[in-house]
Amino acid sequence: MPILEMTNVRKIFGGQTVLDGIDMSLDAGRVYHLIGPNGSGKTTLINVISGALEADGGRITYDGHDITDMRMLQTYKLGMARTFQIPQLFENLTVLENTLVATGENSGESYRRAAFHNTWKGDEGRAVNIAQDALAKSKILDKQQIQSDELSGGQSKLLEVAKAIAGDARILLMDEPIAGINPKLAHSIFEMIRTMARTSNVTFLIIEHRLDISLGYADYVFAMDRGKIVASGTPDEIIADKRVAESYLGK
Amino acid sequence: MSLGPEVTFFVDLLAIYSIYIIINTSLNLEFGYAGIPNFGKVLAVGVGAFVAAAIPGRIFASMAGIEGDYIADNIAIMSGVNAWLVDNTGIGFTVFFVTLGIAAAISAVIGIATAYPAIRLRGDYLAITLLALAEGMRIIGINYADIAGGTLGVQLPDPLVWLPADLRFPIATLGLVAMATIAMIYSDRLIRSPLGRLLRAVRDNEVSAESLGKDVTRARVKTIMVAAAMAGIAGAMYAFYAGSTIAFAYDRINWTFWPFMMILIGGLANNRGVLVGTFIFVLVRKLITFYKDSVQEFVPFDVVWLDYLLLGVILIVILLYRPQGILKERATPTIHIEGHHDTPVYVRLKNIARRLVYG
Repeated sequence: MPILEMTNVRKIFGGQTVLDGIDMSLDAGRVYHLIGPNGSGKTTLINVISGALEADGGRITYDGHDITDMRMLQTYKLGMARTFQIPQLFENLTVLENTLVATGENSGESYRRAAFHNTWKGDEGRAVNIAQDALAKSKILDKQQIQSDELSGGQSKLLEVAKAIAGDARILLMDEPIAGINPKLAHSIFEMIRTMARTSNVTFLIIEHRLDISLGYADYVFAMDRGKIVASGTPDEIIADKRVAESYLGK
Repeated sequence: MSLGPEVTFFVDLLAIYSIYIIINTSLNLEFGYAGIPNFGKVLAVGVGAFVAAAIPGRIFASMAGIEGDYIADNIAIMSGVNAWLVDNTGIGFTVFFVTLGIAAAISAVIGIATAYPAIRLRGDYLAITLLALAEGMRIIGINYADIAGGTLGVQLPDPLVWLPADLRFPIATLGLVAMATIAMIYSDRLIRSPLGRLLRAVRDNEVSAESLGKDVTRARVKTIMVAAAMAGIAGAMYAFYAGSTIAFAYDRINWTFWPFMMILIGGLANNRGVLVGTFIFVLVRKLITFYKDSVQEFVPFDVVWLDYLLLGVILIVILLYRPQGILKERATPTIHIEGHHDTPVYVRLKNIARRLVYG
């Protein structure tokens, strides 16, 4: 049974149909790629799934729940996390603090308990371990004390990845996670993603343009153009697909 | 014995400093840490003062069996109440603390009511809405005389009436200092917790906080509520300290704009900044008031404008050359992490002590 399923999902911006009847079905524990030229609707699709935007039609189900009308807050609680194409960091917080915010519920976040250190320090200790683990996996642990607005573009991207994996998400929607990251680090990020999928059964839906690096890690690829899924299949099938080549690779 | 002018100056400075510390700490929690531009700060302060004006006097009067219209015969009733309080200090203190509790509770409830638009509005619009609500409070206070005597004001009962006259203000000031210390410690503990981190995160990037499952609305509403309760206590204590209340006194300049100025000078989202900024402001203001007359011959304008001018210049200089304020925002570590530079001194000392004891 698929973990995430979309049927005929539509999104219209002021008369322009940006998502034109998307049907997708994702199985748990696999790495999916979403590719397509700029403006084909990839980011909008992630926004609609996560609840940052409302769908104008169709139905999205996740793990047995109808999440079509849910906001981000609710989809997150069900185990769905996402990253943003432009890193959305808490700029006055350190790298570690940024990641700690992403570690899910913490009893010290309530006004009733916050002033009493003893009531939350256990939770906080666990959160620090989780956060540092996520930072290590994202290759940015050495920057944990740095205020996040001092990071370079690539480092901000790595932190964005760390924030996404620090929660207990079952499915991760990632918008260009390796843009601006050097090839060696980019490979290690994708290796980490593949390991998470294989060992922890986490599902990934990843938008990526740097196919030379990322395609080797994908189990399955959806290609979009002008709001539609124009092709889907294994990486090899997609590369051989003429429609994809025309729309995307520009041949 | 009689207190010299230097002592009076110092006591007065400390009292007003303490009151502003409570209010500014609460404003810093809202604006500095949570990013809520509460331009209606005076609302909660005024509500606290109104509670202190309206409730304890009536309670004491009925306990002491003093008849009469609380507002119309206010001065006569209050002198009767204060005479009665000399022999009933225990009841006096009990009612005083209950009043603080009521002031906090009512301010918090009104805070939630004002938070209703806060859920829907952002930035400037929210600031304007809160400003208007606070003005409404003052106008109600002026026109509805039953609360705080309308345009004439009311006298407040004095739980410290049994003290020798010279000691009354110094002792009351100690009470204010104690409350300011509690407010400071409470706020500092909130900030050095996962909650403090959450508030700063919500302020920095609402969308990201929501995408990480944080209930942004809830965090905002609760912050407004807690800050309003703190400001309400400050308002009530100030009314007791001054011994009388008048609705005109709760204006946006003294209890909204000056607090904003103090935390901007000191540095937003930094509790030490609140201490520094408030001190500079209160001291400059007090010195001007104290030495105004001797300055008159040197300035080509009326000295009553001196504090506005001088404080305005200080604010502009700060905003131009150090926009983050004198002390800037710092990381607020929650627990000790090896190699963390910002670990507070007391945690470092504790860790050293622990290493010494346990090896």
